[in-house]
Amino acid sequence: MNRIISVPKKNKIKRRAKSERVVFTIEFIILTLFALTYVFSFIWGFISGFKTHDDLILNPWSMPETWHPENYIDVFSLLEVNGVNMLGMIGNSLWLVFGRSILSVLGPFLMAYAVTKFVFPGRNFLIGLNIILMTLPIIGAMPSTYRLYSQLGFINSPKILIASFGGFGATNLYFCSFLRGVSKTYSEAAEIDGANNYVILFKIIMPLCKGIIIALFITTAVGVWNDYGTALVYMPKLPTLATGIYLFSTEMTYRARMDILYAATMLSAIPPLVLYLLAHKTILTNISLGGIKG
Amino acid sequence: MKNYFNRIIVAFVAMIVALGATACAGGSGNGGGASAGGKDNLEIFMWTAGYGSDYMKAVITAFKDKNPDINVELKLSSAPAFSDIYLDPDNNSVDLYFTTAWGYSAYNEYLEPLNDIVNTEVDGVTIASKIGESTVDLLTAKDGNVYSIPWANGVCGLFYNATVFEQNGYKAPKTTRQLADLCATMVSDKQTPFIYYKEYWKYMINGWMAQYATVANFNKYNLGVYTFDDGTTSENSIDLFINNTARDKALEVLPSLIGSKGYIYTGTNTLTHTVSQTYFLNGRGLMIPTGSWLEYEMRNSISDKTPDIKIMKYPVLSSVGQLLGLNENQLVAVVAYVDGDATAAQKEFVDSLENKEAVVERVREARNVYFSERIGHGTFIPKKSDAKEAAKKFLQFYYSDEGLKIIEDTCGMLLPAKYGDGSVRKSNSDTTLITSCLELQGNEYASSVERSYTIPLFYNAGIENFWYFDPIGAFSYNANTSQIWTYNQYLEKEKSYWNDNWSQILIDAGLA
Repeated sequence: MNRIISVPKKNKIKRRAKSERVVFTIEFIILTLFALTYVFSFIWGFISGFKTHDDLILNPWSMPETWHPENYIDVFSLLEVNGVNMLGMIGNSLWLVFGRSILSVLGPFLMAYAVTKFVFPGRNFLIGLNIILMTLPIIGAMPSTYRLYSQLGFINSPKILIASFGGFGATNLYFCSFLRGVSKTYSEAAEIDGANNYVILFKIIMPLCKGIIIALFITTAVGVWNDYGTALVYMPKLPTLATGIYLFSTEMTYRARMDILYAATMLSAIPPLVLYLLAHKTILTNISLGGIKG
Repeated sequence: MKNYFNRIIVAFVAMIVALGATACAGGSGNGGGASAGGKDNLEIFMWTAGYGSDYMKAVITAFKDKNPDINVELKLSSAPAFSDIYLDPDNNSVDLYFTTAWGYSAYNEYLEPLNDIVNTEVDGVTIASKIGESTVDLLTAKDGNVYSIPWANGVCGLFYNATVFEQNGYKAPKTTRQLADLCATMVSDKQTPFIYYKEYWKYMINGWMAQYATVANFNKYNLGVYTFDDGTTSENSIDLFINNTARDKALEVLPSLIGSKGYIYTGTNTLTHTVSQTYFLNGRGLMIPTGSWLEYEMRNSISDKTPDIKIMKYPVLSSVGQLLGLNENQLVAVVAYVDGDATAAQKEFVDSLENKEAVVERVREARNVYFSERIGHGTFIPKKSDAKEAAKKFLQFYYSDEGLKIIEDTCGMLLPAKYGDGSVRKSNSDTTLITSCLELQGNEYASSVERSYTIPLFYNAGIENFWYFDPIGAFSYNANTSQIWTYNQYLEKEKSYWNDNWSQILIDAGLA
């Protein structure tokens, strides 16, 4: 007996109205030009790294008179701050990025889980305190923070990572928002099966939050990679790449090697750029402060 | 029950973490001190400035060879900071600073007096005499102590493109009027007279002030003392800023030099010092106020195509002639006389002067003035350092003939001190620029003027110059001519500012 297989009709492609196409085209051109301004900066910086200092200063907009690819190699030996070369600075950047990113995400996640899933005295106070702390001006807090870190022995030490393990901040808000949308049914079902709070947290809830954890980890990592202020103030003897480039840029006012500065800047932009290119979908689909994910 | 125990465990772990963090206190230590191997640890902080760090590394290597019991660690910085001395003195590990001396006098209580250093004999003479007794006087605080001594020496003034000067037949001017005329000639020859970094004009302005007021009176300005025409003085008073004729006459020159179209490189007011120097070395301007660090700082820009660069003697302020009752031509004659290239007619005129000796001496001093950026580079030892003796030993070596020779050979900079035999140089292979700086500095009549900030009026109230409004920005040519200030407008605003703010300045300085 022949089987009748129904084949769904292909959906017809709906053509846009002419006015829509015009608006779309104009939007596309504007946004493309806008994007090109960002891309142009990168291309210009990249080409500038191939020039000599004089060529860069005298002919900033033209192609190099002679190409000097060795600048991108020399930067590893010339970029030196407080006795730390570029490889050393990359090493400092890596442990700071990973350490801070992990702790900066884990701490708020744990706190967000506590305040959204448990009822305890002071819960609302913690939620309010988070908002208040986010509005404190850093200018007022920094001297006290420095003194505290100094007395705790955090200055010029990897121990400063401990300070990243705080529960407050915008990351906490992201997690709170996300966790409120996670149904209690998961944890209740696990509890019925005999799971304790730790098993529920690490084996049930955390995997559900994998997307947002990764997204926030990546955004935090990019931020820490580019943050020169923290290392500049609290870790002058352990400069990160961002700090090194910042200090190098001020030193270039005396060494007249802007070509090396641009080469170093372009090289330092590569890791966060690659990270974002690989993970931008994860970031955009998982970060939301509201109840609906984007 | 299970939850109760869980909470106990969590609280206990939190307590352990908190206590553990607190127990990690200790910081990076207070100074170098002795290491486990019995060596002294000496940590040196160096602001690399325009001289680089290679010479310091070479000095350290030689010092360590002579002092194997001292371990030296060099910490380089592009920023001239020394705030750790007073912000965190107990945890500051640096034992010796080579940095800027601007503002350090506010923190003398955190610094070790260096009187024993300056009075130490090295190579048969005291370090004070090597540095210069007048400089040491300028560095002596009110309590009689010296807390900082200069580690670098920049001869500052107007550098010019000697190659183009020779090609076009330009002559280094003798007076400021001649300088203005030279600029006009250059413009008509389609050349650009000036390119500059705004801040460096202060060298010329201070030099001209010293010409008008005399070097002795200018040095008194550094101590907050203003001398009136009748010889009376005022100290820490507003007269230094509103009645300072020397300042006014020095600034009066600027509109004629930078205020007309074509006299300055377009956009020069926005340039950094290295960019302006790069442009100068590539011929975009023929004269630039800067310092003798120019060559070393721009060594990557120097090639066979780079023109010969020289420093010119400071053109004498034409107003000095008016003070002495001389017109412009007569002043030129006296300047030529002191330069040794006077014509017969000029010599005859000078010989005919009634007060010839006084006039010649006055003009000679003015003609041989130059600004020295030495005091601005200060070395000091934190009071809480654990390696003070090692730091002092290092300074003694730095100022010894051996140390100075290493500096001269490595980076070619002009030395912060003389050799024991009184010479300023051992090398015979200096560049044109350094040779011209040595001629300016080394002639028997040379008088250097410097800015020091050892009084509260300067270091507490933050007064760096004897003027408030930026004269270069005010007077330099602008296509929007309504934005150019006239000299009288500038003076009016300047006096108004000091009058309006003087009481607050005195409060800030701790003098009211």
